[in-house]
Amino acid sequence: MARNGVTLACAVRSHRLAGDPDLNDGHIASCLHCQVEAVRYRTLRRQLALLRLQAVDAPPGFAGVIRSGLGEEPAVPKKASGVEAAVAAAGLAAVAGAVALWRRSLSA
Amino acid sequence: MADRNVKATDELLDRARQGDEGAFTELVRHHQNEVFTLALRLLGNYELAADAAQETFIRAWRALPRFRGDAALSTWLHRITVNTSWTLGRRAQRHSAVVLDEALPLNDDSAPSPEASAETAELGGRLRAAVSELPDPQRAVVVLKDIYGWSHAEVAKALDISVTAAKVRLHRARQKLKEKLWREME
Repeated sequence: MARNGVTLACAVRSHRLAGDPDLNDGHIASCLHCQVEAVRYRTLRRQLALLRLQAVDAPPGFAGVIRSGLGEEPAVPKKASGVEAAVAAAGLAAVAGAVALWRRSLSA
Repeated sequence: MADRNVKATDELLDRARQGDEGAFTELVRHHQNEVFTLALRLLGNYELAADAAQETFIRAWRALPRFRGDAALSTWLHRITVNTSWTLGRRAQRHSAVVLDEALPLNDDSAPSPEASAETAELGGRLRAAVSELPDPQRAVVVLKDIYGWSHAEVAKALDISVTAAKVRLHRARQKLKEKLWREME
């Protein structure tokens, strides 16, 4: 049953050619309609691959916007300075002392 | 020349990993167009793509100390771009219908071949429009597989779908594109 020369076999091949435009078999080799389909799918794939080479410019000032946002987003955790470390250690020691005194008062 | 570029990029990467914002900004300048283009192809919307590209670089900055260089920097950035675009795209869809940008200024990096005809250029223009009109899930698969050359497995992983689903979407998308392009020509 062919409509405009297109048979069920053509419809099946068209479906398969979407996955593999280089597909070839006895039917495709002898069917002009399927050969046209194959060429179209190959052209489509080639044109899509070409889009990879077409770059669109990022909006003007893009890198500057990123840089201004980096200050709020540290990539590397900031190392504590010597003074900061000493203050933190003193704080910890004070807390530990307070806990020890509190425990002693409880046991007394 | 290429070796020198690689070395320069490695040096920038090392400095950026140490928290050097200037070095990272330089890396952003090198990669901003490719990241923005990928986001634009995936999202089909200029404003949304700008947001996605911005978010991509902020995420990259945060994750940079964990980047060990197993893949090329551009490959790593592409993966972050896909994840970010996918997230932003879904969020935008929930809030409103995405408006597709039709005529986008394109910067063709490829040298025009002598045999490049007006017909090919016209086909390329119509193809860009046709890709942007595909439903989001199909567009993502076509962009990653047919434009960027990712494998089915990579596409499936990035979009959190099965390989079979990725293949089916690709198949349908190609059929739609082919029908759209050549129906208009006939």
